[in-house]
Amino acid sequence: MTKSNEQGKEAKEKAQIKFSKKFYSNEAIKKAAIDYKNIAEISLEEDESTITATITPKEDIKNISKEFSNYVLGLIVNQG
Amino acid sequence: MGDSNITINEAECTVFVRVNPKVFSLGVVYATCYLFTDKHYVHLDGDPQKEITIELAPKDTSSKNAAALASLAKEFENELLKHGFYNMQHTESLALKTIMLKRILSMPDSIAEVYVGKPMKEKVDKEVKLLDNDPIENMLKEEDPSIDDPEGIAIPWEEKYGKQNDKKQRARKRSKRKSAD
Repeated sequence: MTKSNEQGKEAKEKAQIKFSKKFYSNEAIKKAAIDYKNIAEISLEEDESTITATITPKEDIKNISKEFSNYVLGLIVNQG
Repeated sequence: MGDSNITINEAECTVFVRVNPKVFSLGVVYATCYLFTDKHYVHLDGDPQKEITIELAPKDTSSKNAAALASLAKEFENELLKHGFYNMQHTESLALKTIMLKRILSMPDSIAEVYVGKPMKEKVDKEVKLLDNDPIENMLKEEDPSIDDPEGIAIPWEEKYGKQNDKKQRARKRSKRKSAD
């Protein structure tokens, strides 16, 4: 069974989410991080197969890491 | 609990759907996932060559039990099938659409724009330029004798046998006779 990649859930707490490089492009994740800079501080760490985004929200936003994941997916689909 | 390709985690209100990439292309999976981002959190994982795992979590978790999560997974699979079918139809009809658009574009620009609209015409013009590099099309153009006459040997019928030419020839003959006299 595949486990959820999301570790942090509470608002204003650090949350981490792992993106598989096979599905999520580096450019889309970086673009999403730039777009999110007004509402959260995002640091990206990269290894061979994944990119880990550590998100520290500036405001109370529920499930920010999952929202971020949806946003990245949207960028990938719309960029074609 | 779950089907062979569905795993439900009721505690975290999440359902995992596993998809065979040989049946559904990655493009179809992305399109379906994007459709679900409106009301659900969607995350992709796995291997695009062997098995794609889609994690679905409803944004509204107030009344989500195992049965609701199972129906969500089934709904996702239905959408996947629908997108796969559309994609297949689109691929099959692409050649026909291209031929029809090429025919429309062979009309004068102003008429073609009425049929397809200006932005669409510009987009298709680009695609047709790419198609112009098709070797078969190029071969057909080369075979057409009316296109090139680099030596200037070919003479149009009107020029050779036309009425205007007769007048010119008569005028030349008259001028020759006068000069001979």
